[in-house]
Amino acid sequence: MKTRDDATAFFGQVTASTTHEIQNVLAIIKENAGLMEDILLMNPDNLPTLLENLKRCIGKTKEQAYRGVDLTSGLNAFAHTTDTFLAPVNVYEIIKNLIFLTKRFFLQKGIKLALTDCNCPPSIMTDPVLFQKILWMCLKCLTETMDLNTNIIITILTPDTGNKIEFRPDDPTLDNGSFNQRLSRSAKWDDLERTCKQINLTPRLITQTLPGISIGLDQKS
Amino acid sequence: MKLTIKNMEAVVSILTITNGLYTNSEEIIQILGKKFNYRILTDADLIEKTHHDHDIRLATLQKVLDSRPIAFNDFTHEKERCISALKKTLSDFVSEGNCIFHGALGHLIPKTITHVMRVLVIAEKNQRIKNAEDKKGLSKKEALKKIELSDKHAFLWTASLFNEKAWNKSLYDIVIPSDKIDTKEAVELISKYLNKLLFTHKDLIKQEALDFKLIADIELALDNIGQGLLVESHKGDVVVTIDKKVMLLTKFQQKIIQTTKTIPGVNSVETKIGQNYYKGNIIHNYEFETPLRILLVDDEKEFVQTLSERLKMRQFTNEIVYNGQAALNFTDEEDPEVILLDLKMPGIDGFEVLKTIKKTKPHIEVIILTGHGSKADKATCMDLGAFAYLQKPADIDLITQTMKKAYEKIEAQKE
Repeated sequence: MKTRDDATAFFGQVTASTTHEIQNVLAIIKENAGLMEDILLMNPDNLPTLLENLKRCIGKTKEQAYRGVDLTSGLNAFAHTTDTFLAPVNVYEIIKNLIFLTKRFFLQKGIKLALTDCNCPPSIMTDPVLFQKILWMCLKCLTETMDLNTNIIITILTPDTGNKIEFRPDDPTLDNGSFNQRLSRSAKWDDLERTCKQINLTPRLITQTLPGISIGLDQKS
Repeated sequence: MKLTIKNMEAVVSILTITNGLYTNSEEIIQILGKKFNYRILTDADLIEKTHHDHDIRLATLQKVLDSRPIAFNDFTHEKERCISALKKTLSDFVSEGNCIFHGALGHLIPKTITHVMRVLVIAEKNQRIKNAEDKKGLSKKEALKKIELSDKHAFLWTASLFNEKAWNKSLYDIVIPSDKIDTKEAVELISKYLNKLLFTHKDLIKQEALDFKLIADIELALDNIGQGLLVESHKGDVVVTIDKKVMLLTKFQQKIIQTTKTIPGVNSVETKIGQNYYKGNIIHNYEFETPLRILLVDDEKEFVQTLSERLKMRQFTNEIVYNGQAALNFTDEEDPEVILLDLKMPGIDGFEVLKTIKKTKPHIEVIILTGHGSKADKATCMDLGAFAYLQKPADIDLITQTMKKAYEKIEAQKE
């Protein structure tokens, strides 16, 4: 059976998730427009109620329009990461955008992604597509190893505190040893290692405190 | 309890006592009951009697008292019927006199009944927690949780009746701070107040009780023709105020008068227009003999709430849930006939819901409304027994037409 290569599949999944959200935004705008029409037909005699209802609809439409703009901007930025093979990547911003575009995909599995704040986020020169693919693979690797309905916390450590990205399930009951064993034995882990090698990054299993995956940002040649 | 003043025999025979949870009100009420030889009737007693006399489910009556939503109430008006029935029960006891209503239901007695004394027993929250710890053996956390829930129900109840907070002094004749005075003092204070209360002639009290009974009977009768009607009665002369949106006003007024005149004790009826009246209209009038009960299932709240509103404008009664598990729970507890179901939702997805519904409740018609779907998804859904498969954003007329077809199928199967 023919299958897509990983990068194409990755782009497909992210685009599908985002366009689903955009479709919802448009559906809401359409319904609100319809509701405004209905309200105008319904309440010609009761002006205060009419104005209040219309104001409410307009507010919601505006909110959704802004949401739509954010989604298309995010998707546009994502699409433009294919422009070059080598570019400066703001690690925090790229992760933030990826979470924004794919949160629905993970929410379907009951998983919320949380990115902790980072004061001076590191920047690296790398292939933005492969870098995002690595982030995606880390999330998918964890998702397929841990229980559903568990959140994932993503932490960026600056060059003076470790210079890496950590992905951890937010579950204090997880047994470090057995979880990491499952992780390292999965086919996705092998794919992750191979992809990281392409851009000189190193994935590691986190063995202290909560288990998870870390991606070192010191690019070894 | 009878009090005599020159040339006038008067009776103050009804006490309503509302209290916060764990305010030691039970003791006060028991002593008052013994002192004045009053019957004590709790909310549970009134609910039980109403359930028995009017064949309304106990769970439904409790839901009304707790101000919890009642599914499909826009169509069934169960809530309004429960309140009318509870008022009827109260009016029967008010006619008998000599009772203490202990709880929130005493608020249903109209303010026009002057021979009722309304008492609030309340205390600071910390004292209530302490009472719960000392007398009920609860932990601080448990006590606080119960107090907050009880207060929430009380506040929702008085907000729905009077748009006031439950402990607002204006709702009562006397407020007893049970954390500042002991039980003996509280009983003395209430008794003293009873003695000082202005009382009215025996005949007038009798008339008030009769008017209350009449109002309750009329409200029960009018529940069948419409809601938003305020009923007043003075010696059998009845005024019904129309305080809501109405389409054909004259016809509606005639129906009100016709229905009210059939109630024994009514001397005259007139209708008035209230400040919330306005002439309504509906977008499309679908004539359902028995309106459809529809459940909307979608995790996109903004979308489904707007859709719900538009459907209600078109006389399509509906309720909303936001995930698959809630949909399954709803179908277990309530009785929807048609479900409008999204496919992609967190947790149990639409496919799973469809599969389960068609297996356990095959009479429910499921219309898929999804933004995601592929041809394969459509085929899967139709194979699983979906009635129809629509793509978001779907035109409202298409949705309602599809629902109408589902309705026709359901009606045909009933025959």
